[in-house]
Amino acid sequence: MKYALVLFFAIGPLLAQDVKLPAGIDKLAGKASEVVDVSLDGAMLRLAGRFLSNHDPDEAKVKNIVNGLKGIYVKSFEFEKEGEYAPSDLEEIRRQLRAPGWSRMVGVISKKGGENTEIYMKLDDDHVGGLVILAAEPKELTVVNIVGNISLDDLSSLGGHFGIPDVETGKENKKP
Amino acid sequence: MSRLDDALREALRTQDPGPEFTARVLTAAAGARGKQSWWQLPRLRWATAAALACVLLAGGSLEYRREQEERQGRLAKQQLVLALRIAGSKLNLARDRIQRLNAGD
Repeated sequence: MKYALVLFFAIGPLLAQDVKLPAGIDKLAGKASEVVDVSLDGAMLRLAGRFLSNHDPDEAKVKNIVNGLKGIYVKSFEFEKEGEYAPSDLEEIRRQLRAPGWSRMVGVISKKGGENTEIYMKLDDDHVGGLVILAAEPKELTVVNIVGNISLDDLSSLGGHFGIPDVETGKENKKP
Repeated sequence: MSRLDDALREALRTQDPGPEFTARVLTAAAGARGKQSWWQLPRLRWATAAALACVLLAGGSLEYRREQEERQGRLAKQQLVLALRIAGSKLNLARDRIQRLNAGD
């Protein structure tokens, strides 16, 4: 497992994608108590980037990351009780992620707790084309689809910025 | 005395200025009318008002679009931060679980 972690973060910066979130997953919104639905295509990301300051170091970092992205799509559902979604709801996404070029970098399946996290990346030539995170918990289901050149280091560099949780990558933390 | 009278009468005799003088006077009068202020010309006045209205309308429209774009941009920025926050937290979750599993090795 230690090697899985090292592999995960070592290969992370190399990976890409264009997965479509199935329309069926939107039906879960009717059962959810809380829904987060973020859909930002390239044009919206560029627009958002214009409102990120170059003078603020945090915002400049985010702006730099956004420059390499073509889209960010997030769907997150929080339910009042367990069993509101079926594991098969994610099957359509998994099917797309079995396409050539995609690799499942991390798969943490907890049969006891019912908490499953999968991280997929796609390699376009020698750079990352995208990242997909599937996080299924008993009362929560989250799908993150980041299209474009992003590395886990980039994402981890946002740790603490804008309240984004710090993500360790197994590398030395450069921050003082 | 009569010679003086005759001289005066001769000097003050009504003379026809001739057609050239009339023409010069008419030309000068027309020229003076042409030099009146542009604002006094009704067509030009309306055209100026219309052009001004167009400029104001275009300016207002541009300002409205700029405000709309700014509102959209700020909303997009909020969504971007939210998306990155969720992505970061899920990565963090995966890391924690892997570390827990590693600790159990």
